[in-house]
Amino acid sequence: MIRINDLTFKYKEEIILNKLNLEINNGDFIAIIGANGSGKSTLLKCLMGINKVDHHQIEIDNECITCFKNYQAIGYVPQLKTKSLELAISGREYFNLITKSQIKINQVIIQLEIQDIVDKNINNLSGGQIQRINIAKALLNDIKYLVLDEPNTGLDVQTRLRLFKLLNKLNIQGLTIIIVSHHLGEIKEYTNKIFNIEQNKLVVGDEDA
Amino acid sequence: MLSYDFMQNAFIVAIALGIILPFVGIIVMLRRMTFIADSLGHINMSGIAFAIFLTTYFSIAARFTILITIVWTILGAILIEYLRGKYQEYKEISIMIVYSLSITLTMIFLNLSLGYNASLFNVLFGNINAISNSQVNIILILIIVLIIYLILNYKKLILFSLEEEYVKLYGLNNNMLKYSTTILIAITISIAIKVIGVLLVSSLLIIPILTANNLANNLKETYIYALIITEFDLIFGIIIAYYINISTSAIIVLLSLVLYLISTKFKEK
Repeated sequence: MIRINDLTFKYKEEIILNKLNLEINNGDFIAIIGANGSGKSTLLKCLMGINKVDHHQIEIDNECITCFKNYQAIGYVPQLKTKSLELAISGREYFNLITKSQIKINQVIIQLEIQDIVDKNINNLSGGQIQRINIAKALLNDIKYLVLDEPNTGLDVQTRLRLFKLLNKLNIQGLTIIIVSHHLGEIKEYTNKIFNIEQNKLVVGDEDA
Repeated sequence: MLSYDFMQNAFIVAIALGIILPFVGIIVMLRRMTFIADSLGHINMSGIAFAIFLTTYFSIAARFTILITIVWTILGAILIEYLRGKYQEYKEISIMIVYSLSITLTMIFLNLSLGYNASLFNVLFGNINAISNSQVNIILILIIVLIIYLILNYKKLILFSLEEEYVKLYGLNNNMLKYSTTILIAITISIAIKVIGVLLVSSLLIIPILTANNLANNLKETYIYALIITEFDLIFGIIIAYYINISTSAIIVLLSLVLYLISTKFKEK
């Protein structure tokens, strides 16, 4: 469970996040929405301990953020990037950097049905395929929370649906999913909570608000 | 050719250096630090000037030139990392500051030293034939230590280079890896400068990686191709330069550029 209490975050005297309050329960599928520049990615960085905040402002699994050490419980899927120059690397190579366990690697490959792409150069894969490799990377650790930054950007409708169905399946298996997005699109029907960061309130699933 | 001591030394250093250069080149590319190789080259140059200055007053310092410059370069590399952290949004500023500081210090130390010293010319353009027996021993020990370190830690170093900001999520220590990769790069560049010089050191580090990346489908292949290419450039560079009597570093980089051009024909992407 993640609890955000009056979270304020400033960058160079500019207030990015202003007294946010949010509760994410285990098993939630939550979308955090807001326009570009509204502080969504900043919030994710606070959750992952990259942006430093006061200890009481975020609690993860009943531990304050400064005491929390088990960051391996959080999996992160970054936004798709289009880079002009990138060194060749295959998904399997990436997986081997993260874990020694071949059993775990093979298990995740089968779970995400990526047998046909796991040995190819990631830079030659489509956006949807890269996202599946990125999710597989996150699942190699025994995570409780999967955090995704704008996962639907740059994907066509069919690929988006496939991705959301996969996330839905992982959610049913017990994973807490946190998605950040500037537009909801098709993901709406899979979420049980939607938090509008600009209004600082839950707009769907607001039993706690 | 091999009957000369200086040629034997040249081949030994080149072959050993060729093993670690591609790995360090991959890290530099993944971390998008290609300009840092250049800056470290200039820091190294001010280190040489500092060693020359010391030698003017304490002749014993001449024996430790290579160690003085390596320590100096490591300190400069740590300064770059510190400044990169401080100017998150404008990381190139750190390079500019260190670059200016290096050139200024080089000029000041040389002004304070007595007379002309050829080693600065060697620092700019490299002179693999000027590596002495005692320097070969120091370089070989350093390279062996680096290879052992890389064998034990390459997974962590590559993962860190790929996902610097999020490495905490994999249970790794960001700061420790940041400074250890920086020190690794600083030592490698200090050694490479003995061979190739400040002005071309980043070329020897990066061009073989670009060539290998045009041919490879994964990171392992990139390293293997880059290893073969770097060794080829160094060995044939030394041989050709010996027979046609032209600067070795120029021939080495020329060879690497030719191979890069050929590799673009194979690029499928």
